[in-house]
Amino acid sequence: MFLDQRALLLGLCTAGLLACGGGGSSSGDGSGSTGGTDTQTSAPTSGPSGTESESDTEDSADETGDSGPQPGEQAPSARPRVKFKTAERYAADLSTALSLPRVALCSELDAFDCIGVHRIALGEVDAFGLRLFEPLETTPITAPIAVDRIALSACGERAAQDFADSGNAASFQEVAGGDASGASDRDAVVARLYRQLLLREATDAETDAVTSMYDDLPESGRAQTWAQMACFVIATSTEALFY
Amino acid sequence: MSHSKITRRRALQGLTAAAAGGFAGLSGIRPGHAGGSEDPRFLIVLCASGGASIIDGPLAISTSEAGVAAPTLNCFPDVVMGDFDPSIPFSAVDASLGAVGPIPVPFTTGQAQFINAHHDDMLVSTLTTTSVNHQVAQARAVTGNGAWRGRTIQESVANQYGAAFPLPNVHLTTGTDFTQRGSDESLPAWAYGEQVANPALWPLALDGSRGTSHPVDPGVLATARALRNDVLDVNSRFNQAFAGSDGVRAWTGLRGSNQAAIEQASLIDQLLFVPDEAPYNLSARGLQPSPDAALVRSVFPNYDWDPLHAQAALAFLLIKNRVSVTVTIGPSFDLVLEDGTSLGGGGLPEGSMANPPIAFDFSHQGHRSTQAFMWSRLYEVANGLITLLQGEEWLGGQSLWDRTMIHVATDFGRSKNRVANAGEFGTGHDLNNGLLTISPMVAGNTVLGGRDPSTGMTYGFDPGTGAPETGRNMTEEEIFGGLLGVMGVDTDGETDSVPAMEA
Repeated sequence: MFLDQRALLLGLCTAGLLACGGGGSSSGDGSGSTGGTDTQTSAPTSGPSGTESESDTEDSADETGDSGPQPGEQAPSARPRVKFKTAERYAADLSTALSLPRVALCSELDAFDCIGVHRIALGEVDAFGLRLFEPLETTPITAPIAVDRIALSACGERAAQDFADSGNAASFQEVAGGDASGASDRDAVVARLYRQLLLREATDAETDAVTSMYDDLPESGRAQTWAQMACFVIATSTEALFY
Repeated sequence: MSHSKITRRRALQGLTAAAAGGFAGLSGIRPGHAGGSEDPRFLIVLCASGGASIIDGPLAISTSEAGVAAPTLNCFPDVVMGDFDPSIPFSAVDASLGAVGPIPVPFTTGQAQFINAHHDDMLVSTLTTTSVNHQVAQARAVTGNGAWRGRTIQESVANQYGAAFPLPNVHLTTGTDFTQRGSDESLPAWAYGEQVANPALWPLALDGSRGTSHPVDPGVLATARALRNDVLDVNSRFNQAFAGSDGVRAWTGLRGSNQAAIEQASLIDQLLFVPDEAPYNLSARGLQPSPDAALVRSVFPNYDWDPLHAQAALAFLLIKNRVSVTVTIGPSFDLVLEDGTSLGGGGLPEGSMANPPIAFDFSHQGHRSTQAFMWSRLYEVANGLITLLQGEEWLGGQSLWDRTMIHVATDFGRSKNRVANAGEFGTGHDLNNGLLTISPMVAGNTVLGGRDPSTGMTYGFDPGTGAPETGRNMTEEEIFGGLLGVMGVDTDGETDSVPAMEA
């Protein structure tokens, strides 16, 4: 049932009623993204990463005429078989969502592709380089930290570009001028981030929570920091990492 | 719209609590083996993938020892055998060869130097294994053929001593079954191996912000994480539906206090061993090398192109900084050439090849040169680790080396014969072999069992007295129990210790 909102949103995307996916003037030029592209083009039958799942099909079957439970009323899945996106899929989705080329998402020490550095910890294999033919059996303790590094860099880069050229902002246009003191402006940014990163509408409670984070941040550079961290909390949520 | 708040104070309270506890705090949520973490012993598993033949290393046989069997036995001209004091029971091959199998790269071995330096800490235990399949044999080498519910020696040591360590069991080598997860599911999750794919850059994954292109203040990151973990995730419809999945549970379990404790320990400052120069340029991202970085690079200078040197460098830092109680390293199955090595005619320069393809298993193509090259490679890395650990004080006049065991794990032995008088020949896999263990905690300067110089076959020993028994073969279970005994691991009687192996 959780998918009801997304299915509805994707239907609206198809009808051109909402600005979805890239959300800005760019569509991820040079991203090389496959997962993200699939997410948009095959949306009616695909999950967030373009992969159809059994639960998708089942959930879609009973949605007709049913507005679904209200937020906070979701029943636990009887078969909670979600999958981790793994490094490459996550990078592709992040690239599309933030309209950043894949290579611009993140680099370690300005010399090494983040996704490459952390790919094994994040579920990838390396048959030719490391003779790792299967993903690691257990998630390393460094994996959530690696995801945080990737998302922090990508969100920071999106914010830096938007604040440097607010007229062409892709994610943060309402605050990219440097003033995020207006709650309604922040609400608009949060709504867009949820559409871009999770392909659904934010609930009121989610919008409220992310918008309010602004009050807890240091005053220096607060608008851009808030923009970066608002993106970060959504991009590293379990919903963004599993499908 | 009312705006709820995740306050900085709330976020920082969680961070501070984790920091104050540090890994002593972690120990409070880690029910490891009672009393183990206060008096740990450290284990380095040095994997000799492909079959390290004991009669090409510390039990090498000279032509004069072999006698009439010499022409068709894998034995060495007397002139290349190391010259030792008679009280030293080991042998060594010191030779200069022009190639490793068919690879034209000259090299010189210096095995006698290692043995002269470390014979008092060296133990050779003979062994006859149960499989000549690489994967099966490697798995059995670290589990004693399932001797203790299938747990590996690394997991056993981690469970005994690692409760208060951030990452008790770290695997730095890949692509072998020496690092497979054991089959005992009853162990705590932290006792299983943490895989490191890139030792030089892996420490970056020990902090969520520092060194990134757009770092933020730790308090800001803590605020955001608290919002994500405690508000957004727990209340999302996705989480309500799928929080019960194994993947989501594992993920959320790794976040929070464990993550904060690792970052608060500033491991990123202790474990980066690369220099602050291109291509790393650490200071440009607000980082700096470990205080020990220059030291470990001087011992393992090929860290930038030889994965084994990089593994060994990080292995030392993990132990020295009390991050791990066991680390697993080893040469890979890949050809490793120095960057820029030309593959043109005329052969390769000496020192330009660190590893032949398929490591010890390249003995199929050229046994004598491969074994000589690879044994020297293991000795060189072991010597480096010993030197570094000897230089680190533990307590009460003890060094870290006094509490560390390097165990050279291997798949199996190699066949013992050769084409008559051949200087180079190929060999197959053989169950009969022996194992080298190096530590002040083992019965040093000792060979338990022995080898028949006319056949190259090893024989066993009495586990209690160590007396050689020519009609006996030691099993994987016995040696596994003996190694755990040396490490002081309490097995609740599920394996038998081997007193003869202990100092």
